[in-house]
Amino acid sequence: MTDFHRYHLIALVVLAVMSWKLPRQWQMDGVSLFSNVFICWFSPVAAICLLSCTTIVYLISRSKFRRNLWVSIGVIYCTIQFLLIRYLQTYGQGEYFQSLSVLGIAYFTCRHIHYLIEVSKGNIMVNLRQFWYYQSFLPVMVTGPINRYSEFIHEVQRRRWDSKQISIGIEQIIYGYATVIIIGNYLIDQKMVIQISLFEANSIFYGWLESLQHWAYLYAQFSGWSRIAIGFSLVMGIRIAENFNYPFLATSLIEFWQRWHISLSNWCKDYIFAPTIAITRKPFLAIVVGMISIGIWHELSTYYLIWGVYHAIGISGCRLFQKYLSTLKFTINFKGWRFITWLLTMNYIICGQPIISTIDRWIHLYV
Amino acid sequence: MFKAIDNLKSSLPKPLIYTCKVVWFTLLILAIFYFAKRDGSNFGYWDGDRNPKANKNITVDNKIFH
Repeated sequence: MTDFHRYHLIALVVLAVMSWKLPRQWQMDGVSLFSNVFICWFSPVAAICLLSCTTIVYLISRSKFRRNLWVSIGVIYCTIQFLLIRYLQTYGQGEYFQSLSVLGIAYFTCRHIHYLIEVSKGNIMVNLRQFWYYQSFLPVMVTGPINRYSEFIHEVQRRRWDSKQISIGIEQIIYGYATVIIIGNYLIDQKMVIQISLFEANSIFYGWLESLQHWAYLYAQFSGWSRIAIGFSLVMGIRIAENFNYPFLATSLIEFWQRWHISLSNWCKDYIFAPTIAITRKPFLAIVVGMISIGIWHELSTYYLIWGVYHAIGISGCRLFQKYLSTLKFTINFKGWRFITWLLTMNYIICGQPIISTIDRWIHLYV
Repeated sequence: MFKAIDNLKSSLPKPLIYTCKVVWFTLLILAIFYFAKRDGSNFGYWDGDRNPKANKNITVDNKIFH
């Protein structure tokens, strides 16, 4: 455990105690204040970004004059701030930028954009205190999921001591840490790597195994941290929707993205895919824009741009195939079909990493 | 399969289930602490295996804690 993870765990435990032991009317204020102090302590840049974004988004949400214009300005501000940080993290020179950590910026930028758009649609009643709770909830602040405002506030209002829910929360936390530490770091990152290294390096099979290990590790880490976040939220009396639903059982790429990092996929569907379709009437373009956005959300680099295009091609291919089958008025209904589609989907995902890395290297060599 | 497990669970006496749960979670917690201590700082995701510029000594992991 690094120092940060140790303090993160301690902070979450303190928060869980605070969320029940403080006077009822101050419980969520205490949680939000403590979360802000934690962020200020560990990532002052993140605290500044969060404060600037929150202030601007709140002021815009209060404005009555030319609201749509102001909402657009707010969305652009949040996006530019996020891209600037990502740019500095990837291309910034010097040790400061290389180790620059802006905790949770990818998550709170998505939350701010969600809040602004929902306010402009009239789906949210503006309330400073509740907005503060929403933006300063440590369990989901740095590792996701990208929870929705209305659902979160509903949970805050109905929260009460429920020993069964708390016990489920504690189980989730333990399973989450077990997934990260035992499965992710020990079994996949150490034992599996040793087994893979027995195969001939630079062979196709070796590349495939390496990519498989990478995806398995990614899944263990991401789903583990999401479980920890959901578990601590449950302990505090707030239910947060699941972020992963057995993605490696998916039988199509579309299904995979409905099961993997669900909150991000849904966010992208609502705020990038749907508006792009509404404007352009071109679903395939919307898929490309959506997947590139998800790529850039991870990292501002050519690797993730290609990653976005690669997955967009896969999803479009799936869509076209499904459309083609529907025009034939023919359903494939034999036992092995699900297995074949699962095998194809998993191989498309796993083979993606070496393919994308190779294209990325070519681009860096020749462009 | 899950239904069969549920049926088995409901047929067992409650104190036995609680005892099993306590033992299971205690073992799991001990294993977590054992591996966390053993692996030291190797906790986060990636730590720069793809990005050559990434600093391996950073305490906050940029990749998982976006």
